[in-house]
Amino acid sequence: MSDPILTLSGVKTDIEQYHILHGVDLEVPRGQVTMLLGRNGAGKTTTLRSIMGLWRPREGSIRYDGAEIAGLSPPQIARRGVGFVPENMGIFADLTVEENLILAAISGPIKPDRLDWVFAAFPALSTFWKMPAGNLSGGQKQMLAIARAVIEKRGLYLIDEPSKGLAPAIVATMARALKDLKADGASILMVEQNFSLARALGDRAAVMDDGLIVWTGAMAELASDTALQERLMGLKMEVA
Amino acid sequence: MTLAPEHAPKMARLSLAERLEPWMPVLLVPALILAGYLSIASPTSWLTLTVSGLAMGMMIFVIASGMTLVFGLMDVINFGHGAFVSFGAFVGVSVLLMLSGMTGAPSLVLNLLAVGAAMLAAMAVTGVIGLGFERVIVRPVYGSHLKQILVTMGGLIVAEQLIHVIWGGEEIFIGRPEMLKGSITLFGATLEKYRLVAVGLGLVLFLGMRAVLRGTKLGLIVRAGVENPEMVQAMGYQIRRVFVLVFVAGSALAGLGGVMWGLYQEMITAHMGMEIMILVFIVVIIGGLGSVEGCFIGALLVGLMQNYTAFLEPKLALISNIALMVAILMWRPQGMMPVIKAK
Repeated sequence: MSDPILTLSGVKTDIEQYHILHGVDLEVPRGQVTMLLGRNGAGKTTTLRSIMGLWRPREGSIRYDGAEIAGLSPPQIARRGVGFVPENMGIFADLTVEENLILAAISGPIKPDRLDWVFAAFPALSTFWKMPAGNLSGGQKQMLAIARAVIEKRGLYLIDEPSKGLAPAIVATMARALKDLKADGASILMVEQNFSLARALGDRAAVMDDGLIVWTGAMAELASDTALQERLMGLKMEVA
Repeated sequence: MTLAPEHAPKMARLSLAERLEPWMPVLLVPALILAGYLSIASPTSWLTLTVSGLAMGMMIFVIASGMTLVFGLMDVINFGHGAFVSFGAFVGVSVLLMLSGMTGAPSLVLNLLAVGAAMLAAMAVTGVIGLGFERVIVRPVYGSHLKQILVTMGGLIVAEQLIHVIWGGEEIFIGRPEMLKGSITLFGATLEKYRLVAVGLGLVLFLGMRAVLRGTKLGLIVRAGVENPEMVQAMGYQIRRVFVLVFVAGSALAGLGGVMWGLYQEMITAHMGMEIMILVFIVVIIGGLGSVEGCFIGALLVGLMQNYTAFLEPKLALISNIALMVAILMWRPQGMMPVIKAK
């Protein structure tokens, strides 16, 4: 693989007295969508949070765009161009939709073309523009969480389970927006439990188990091999 | 990029009760004023007490506002906040004593300039003290409430002793500036001039604070930080720096409140900050931790309740605000306008 935008080497992360990541090695190619898959508790979220600096790795290297970022603070990592959509969405409920997006635009005022894209992808956000984000539905909050990450162009997007707990219609809207983002050449590392969505969006896949990457390869390869899916993730599904 | 598919969110109109629900705490203030009017037989006494209660509430708000933000932002319980009140009062009164020529002159402009200078000096000194307090006392105990209570209480005691060393152990009596002495008569009610000034100043400070919190990016960061500091960091903002800024501003406001409170009581003591902290804690708790608007409404309720009860049943004045706190917490256990913290 040439020119990865993100490289993790031997990343070990502890949460209190628990060893969660046991030496994660992962490369995220530039301009592609890498799906991080695995069973619950495999360490996917911890991997994203370690990259973001929210949990500091005990050991290992995290290189982003050629520079070491392990040990940097989350604001330093964010300002280097990493956008983060956490599993719990991290919406500021007391702030309006507008204020959430103003805050997300860290380099200055919101650029009109980015806002146009957000409104086109998620029209609900323009409808509820002046409304406190806490009043939005779960799906609309997830839209806002993604909109916040993309309101400024980032080098890498870390997205944690965007489809979690959402109705199929909302997931479809989300998927189309993420496809647009992908078509725009974004580099994305996404944790996703919904295999259909992962298959639809992913270029590459990395499967985690027990704090380690146990398989990496093309998403198409994983999607076409049901035996491999079952072995790696316990999945047993019909491939449409 | 292509356009996303059609999406037609629907907006359902809320019922009247649902629309009024967020405003219920705000309506408590006029409700209490109305209750006071019905309970106090004399309208002139009621008006005097109402202005006095509002003035007291405004001063408590000025002192409490910084504390509620500090708690909301970094989960820090600062029992030492009262030290800034006392220090501010002593610095401000010292300045007023130095400017006795201006305070004694029968000129409103000169009087206000002197009071303004005293307030600015108090804010500057308590802001600097706050910076040191955060670095030395608060920073090592982030994340541990028990340690915070113990060390900030210790800081308060040390600060009080420092006041004894610098200004002596006796209370200082301070007369109000010449043009702020006495009262005016409105609808037959006697209204102290200083209390009217305190109401006006408190209102200006609240509106200013609200404008900063609602209308600036720094304000957005503070409000977002109160809800979810981790996410604010992940978006690229150094929340620690914002916290220090808020801590310093909160300390300065407490110092300003100390000057206002000193002029209100016309006497200052080293432990005045500790004494007022009981009311400050009640206000912060019933307002909802981290909420400036809740703090403002809570302060007005406490000020009004204290004055009405002291007039109607003086023996109950001390416990009336405790009863108010209990009643509000039974109604809304998180306070009137709590900030929803991220889990």
